Amino acid sequence: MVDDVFDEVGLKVEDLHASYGAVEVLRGLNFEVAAKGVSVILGANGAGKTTTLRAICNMCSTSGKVTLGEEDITRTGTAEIVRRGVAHVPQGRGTFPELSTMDNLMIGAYTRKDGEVRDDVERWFEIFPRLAERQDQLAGSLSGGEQQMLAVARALMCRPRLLLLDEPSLGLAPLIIEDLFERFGTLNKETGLTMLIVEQNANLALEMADYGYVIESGEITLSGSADQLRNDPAVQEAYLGA
Amino acid sequence: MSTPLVVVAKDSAEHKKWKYAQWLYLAGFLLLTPLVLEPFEIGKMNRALVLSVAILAVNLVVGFNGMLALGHSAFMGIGAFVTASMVQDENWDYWQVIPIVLIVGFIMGVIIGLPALRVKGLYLALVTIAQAAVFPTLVNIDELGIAARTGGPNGKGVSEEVIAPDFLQWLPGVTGARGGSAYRYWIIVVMIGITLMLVTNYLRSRPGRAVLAIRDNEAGAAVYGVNLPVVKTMNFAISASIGSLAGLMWCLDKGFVAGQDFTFLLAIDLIIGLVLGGVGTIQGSIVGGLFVVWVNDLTKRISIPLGLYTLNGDGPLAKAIFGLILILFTFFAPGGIVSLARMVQAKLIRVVPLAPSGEPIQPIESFDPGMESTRADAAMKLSIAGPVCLAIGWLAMNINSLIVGVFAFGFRMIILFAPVAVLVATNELKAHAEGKRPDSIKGPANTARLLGLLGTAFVIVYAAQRFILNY
Amino acid sequence: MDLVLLLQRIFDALFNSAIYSSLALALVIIFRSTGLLNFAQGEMATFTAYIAFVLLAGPQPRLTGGGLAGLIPGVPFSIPLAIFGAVLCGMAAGAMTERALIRPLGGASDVALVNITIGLLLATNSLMAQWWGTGPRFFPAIFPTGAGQHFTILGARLRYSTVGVWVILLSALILLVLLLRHTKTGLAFRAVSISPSNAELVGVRVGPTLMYGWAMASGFGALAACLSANSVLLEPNMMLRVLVYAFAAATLGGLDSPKGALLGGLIIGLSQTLIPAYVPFIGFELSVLPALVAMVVILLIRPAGLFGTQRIERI
Repeated sequence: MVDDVFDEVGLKVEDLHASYGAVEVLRGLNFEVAAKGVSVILGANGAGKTTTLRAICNMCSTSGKVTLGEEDITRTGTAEIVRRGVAHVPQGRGTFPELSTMDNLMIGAYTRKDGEVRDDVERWFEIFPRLAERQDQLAGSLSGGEQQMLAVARALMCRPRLLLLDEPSLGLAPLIIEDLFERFGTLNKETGLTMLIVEQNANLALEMADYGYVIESGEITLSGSADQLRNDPAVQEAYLGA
Repeated sequence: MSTPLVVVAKDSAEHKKWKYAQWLYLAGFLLLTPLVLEPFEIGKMNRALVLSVAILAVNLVVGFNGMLALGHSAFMGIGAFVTASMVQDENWDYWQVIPIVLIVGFIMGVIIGLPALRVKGLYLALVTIAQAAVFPTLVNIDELGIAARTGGPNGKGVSEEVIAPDFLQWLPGVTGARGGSAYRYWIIVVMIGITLMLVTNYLRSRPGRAVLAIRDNEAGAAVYGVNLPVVKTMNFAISASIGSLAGLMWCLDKGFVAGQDFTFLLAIDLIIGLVLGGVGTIQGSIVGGLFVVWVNDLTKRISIPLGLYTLNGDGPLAKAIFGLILILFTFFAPGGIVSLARMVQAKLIRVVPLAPSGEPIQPIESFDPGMESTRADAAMKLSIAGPVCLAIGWLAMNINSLIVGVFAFGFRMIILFAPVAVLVATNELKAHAEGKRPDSIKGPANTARLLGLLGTAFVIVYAAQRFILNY
Repeated sequence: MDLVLLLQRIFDALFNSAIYSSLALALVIIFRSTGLLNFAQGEMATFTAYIAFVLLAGPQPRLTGGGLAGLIPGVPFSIPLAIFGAVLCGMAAGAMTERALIRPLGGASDVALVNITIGLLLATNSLMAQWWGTGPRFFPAIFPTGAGQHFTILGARLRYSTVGVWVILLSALILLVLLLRHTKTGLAFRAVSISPSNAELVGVRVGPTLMYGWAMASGFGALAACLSANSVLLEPNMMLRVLVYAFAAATLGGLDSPKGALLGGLIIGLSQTLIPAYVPFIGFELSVLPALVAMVVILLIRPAGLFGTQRIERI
């Protein structure tokens, strides 16, 4: 495994507001993701988790300030943000069902101009061997878990500095979720990739994250290290089923 | 203008007054048309109203059911040919043909709408385009006696003239030179009235709501138990039968029917009217029909010399102007003229809804702008705008040019707001008497009242004069 | 049945088939990428044929309509060069249309987008009529069309022009497929056609990619117009009728399938010639009918056309 593939960078979000039409979904979020760290945002349905990630990528109308490393990306277009090194795995995976697995990976590397794309494909095939087996199949014919792996691999193909994951556990069997989160953990440890995960499955997410935020109705109500959150009675009641 | 010029509680006496005023305008418009217009202008109005009915039919599918149908020119054609053939060959009366036309239209609608059972979205558009494209050639088939019935490429004329019977001689305009077109005008107006009533009720009925539900969320409607294929096909067939009725009215109005009248270009005219009027509104259909014909008429008068060229409106340019208008409307007024009119209306009047207790949800007094009121100024501007625009419009109509010409038409209509200025000014003066306004509003309010009254008088005198001149 | 005559009729139909196929391809490319039916496709194509016409003629005000045409370089182009120039102009016009009229509307409704293209149809058509007049113009043939300019196969004549048109169409199509399958832009284009928002998330600039799509489509349209302008005579309404057939062809094959457009064009072209020939009740006047009936029947059996993708809707 090659080390130091990814630059080290953190994400800083200040006073982020977002709205769909007249409905304000985010009401002034402030949070940070440490470089090489994994942060998680917990929240119930409709709390604004997905919108947070969309707002970071400038996919909805926003105000506030988003800083990637040293760069202000608040007003940068979505495609340009991706070029700056933010990979976003949206809810519903964002794969292209009518393209083959291989094409999905290749489109992931769309922003790259170097000649190492093939090497990267090999590398993710090593980590996700199921994808190698199915490289010529249409992505739409893969199982849910495989599609999620493909979505992550595709996101990593652009050699991101920051990976945004939107509910990666959604719709997957518990065993597959565990496997997936294990891989995320390994990925983070081995490559130092900065990750921001939005999840409802607080258990697994807090296990691999080092910092966490709880978001309710578009505001951050709680934050702390993963251990603190895990031991917080409110979080335990609401998200850990204690 | 921060608050509208007039704020009334729903169903209050004031509100009713406004409603009556609206009806009065409508009635005045309907009554004066056959009285003051020249016969050829009445003919144009008839054509516009016939198009309105066809646009209403298109609207039923496109605007209210969210399916793109572009072939209603064919349904119009079917209605027109059935009528021509029954009246000319079988000596039926027009009114006897109505049920036949409705039924034929309905059946054709079911046959062509059946693809709507399975075909989605743009595919329906394609099927209906095919229908519009093929219709003018179908008329010419020799087999099955079709060409004999339709007159083939020569078209079919109806020799029997439509003249008002003795017991209808009292209708405005039907005596004298314009008798024929004025009588046809009244028939068309009555038929439109009945059609509008039926369509409005249909949309409020159970199947009507299902139609709207499908437009808003097809899959959702299906989950709630709406039988998609049946509702869509029924709606399409009803729309087709209204389209055929428009065809009957076409034949009644023109007395001559030819396949070349019902080409794809007519279908495009219908779509333009739909968009300009307002997709998904009943009023929009009517306005759209009027607009298509009047704009077409206005563009024909253009003649702009441009160096080597002279742009002539009666050449191919008319279509370019329609194309441009269509694009501009889609960009800047996607709701059509109706939405623009609603914007103007919102500036003029606000109707405060009632709470369950019967009281307005917010006291009317709370809308009163108090000593800071600018209503008197606004009323004055409105009352001045009328005559000024009238003068500009009159000048512009004499300069024979397109852009000014189209504007001139709308311009002159502003004089119709004169009574509104009078009303607002009177309200303001009353408020002043109650000590709610500063003395400074007296001047503008009085001016507004005077000019407004003059404007109103002018409209009345103008109409009367045209009336007398024409008799 | 006379087999030689049948073969002859098929050969004759092939020319029109190629024209329908290429305009249908243009429609399909735009439908796939932008999800709209471009009603103005035919008029945009006719416009490019006029451009080729002007390039061929050089600056003769009587032919070109004077005015702006005076600015066009004075040397008359050779036919292939003029057509190439026209195709390039068509591509530029297509790209501009996307940029100026379609993109600003964002995700507007089908009705709004259709209106824009209908508006464009009317405007282009009448501007052409205003500029060049409504009378038909002679457009030189790119392939020899005289008597005796044909292959003879089993006694039937296959014209050089038919073969030529198919060679051009197929090479353009092969070029397109290579572009889509083996270049990065092609991959991006396919990704955008499937999901613009997801494509944006992998860094694809959606707008410019759609512009390429419109340019490619208009290129095919321009080819269709320039290749058929000789046989149908150049006039502003030249492609209106062809457009109806192309719509039928695209629908038949499946609105989102290039393969379907090709086959649809063939089916429509053949049925247009063969059915009136063998079904007595349908005269040539009605040749449009069987094609359209075929389209409706196939839609009833396969609502998305022969090769179209059946979309699954979720609530």
